[in-house]
Amino acid sequence: MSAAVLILAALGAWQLIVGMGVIDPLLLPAPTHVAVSLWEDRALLGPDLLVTLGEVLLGLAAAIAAGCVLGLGMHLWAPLRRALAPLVIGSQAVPVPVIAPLFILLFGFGLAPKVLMVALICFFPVTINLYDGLRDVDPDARKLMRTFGASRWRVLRFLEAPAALPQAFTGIKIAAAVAVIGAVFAEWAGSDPDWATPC
Amino acid sequence: MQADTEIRAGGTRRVRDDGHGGILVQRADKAFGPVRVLDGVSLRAGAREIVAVVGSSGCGKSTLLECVCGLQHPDAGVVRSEPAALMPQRDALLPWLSALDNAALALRAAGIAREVARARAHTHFEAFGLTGFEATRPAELSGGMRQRVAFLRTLLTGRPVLCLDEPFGALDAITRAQMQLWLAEALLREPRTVLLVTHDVEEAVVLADRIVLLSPRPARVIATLEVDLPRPRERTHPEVVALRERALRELGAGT
Repeated sequence: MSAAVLILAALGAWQLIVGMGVIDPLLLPAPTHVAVSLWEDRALLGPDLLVTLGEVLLGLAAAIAAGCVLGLGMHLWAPLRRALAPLVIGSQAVPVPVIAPLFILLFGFGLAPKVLMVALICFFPVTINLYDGLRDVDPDARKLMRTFGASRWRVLRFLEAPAALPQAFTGIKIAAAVAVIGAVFAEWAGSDPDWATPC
Repeated sequence: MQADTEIRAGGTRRVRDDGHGGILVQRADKAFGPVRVLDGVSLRAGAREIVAVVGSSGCGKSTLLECVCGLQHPDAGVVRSEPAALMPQRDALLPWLSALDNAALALRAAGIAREVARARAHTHFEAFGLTGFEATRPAELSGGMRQRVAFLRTLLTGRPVLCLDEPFGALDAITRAQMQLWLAEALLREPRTVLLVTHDVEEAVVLADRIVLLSPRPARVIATLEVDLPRPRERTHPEVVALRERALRELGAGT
């Protein structure tokens, strides 16, 4: 409710500023103008929106799967952690506008490079948050499980996995928020209009 | 006959089966880097004896318990104990599990099926005053109830030795007094060898058969007091008061 009020207030301020004629409407059109254009071009924008949404969801699903496997793997197996940690962090240092055209060249103009781009951006917050969540378990609870003589699997199942869930979901939320960036940049680097919407 | 686990310096473990009950600690040393924590600590607890370890905060009492539970190894000396279960200082109940599932955690960790584990834990709920709170999460339990759930979880490990690390330290004075009485009764019903770490001298005198007084870090045994008084013990009983004062004097806090 309060969010809706805030959005309406922002739109109102925007409308007011454009209405005062301070800014050239060509640079900043009024929200009413934008809304009219959205509606008039709906036949064009609608299907494209679905295509992007599909890329985002597929990419996000791939990122969550990869993130869970990597986060869990790094937690359970130290050699994997040492080998992967620099690569995982390094993957986030690569600028999206640079890697996106490369993906287009490698994988063509279809769905694959977009999904891959989304997955590349999104797997990181999932991996890191799951990994940190699994590690940051109450040390007392860990000691307790040791005195119970619990196996590695049961420590994971009864203690670490449930304890890590909230943080894993935080990672997934962050991933969902940045997923669209990956999809848009990959589309922007090159798309074939025919692959998704055959005319 | 219960197999013993002997933990020697260097971490070697040897399973013994000589019928020795309880706990034996002989001249145990332990240091974490440059910080010496235990300095030649010796104590013993016969089968089904309650031994209280009393010392000021941070003197190494928890380290001693962890050695007995096999979580740490002494640098020198011998720590020998029957299989021990730990009740950590903060109760370490898992916030996402109900009281019943928390109590049953040790059984689940040992690979027992959920329904069987729950049923076994539930048989104790009435005696522990937890009936009606089976599905309640720890956050909604009172401090005393949390401690009872934690104690039940420790008991259900089936280990003959219980290591209780300041079990009532976080409770208010009234609840603590009630819980001390309750623990005394619970141990009459289910006798175990108990190593009770506390900084509350009165708690030690009311509950224990023997009191080991430790110096500030590094922990050294100042004195070992035998408590040869009938139970249940009144706090105001002259002998209880006298022993409490003696213990405080030994600790350098007497009047």
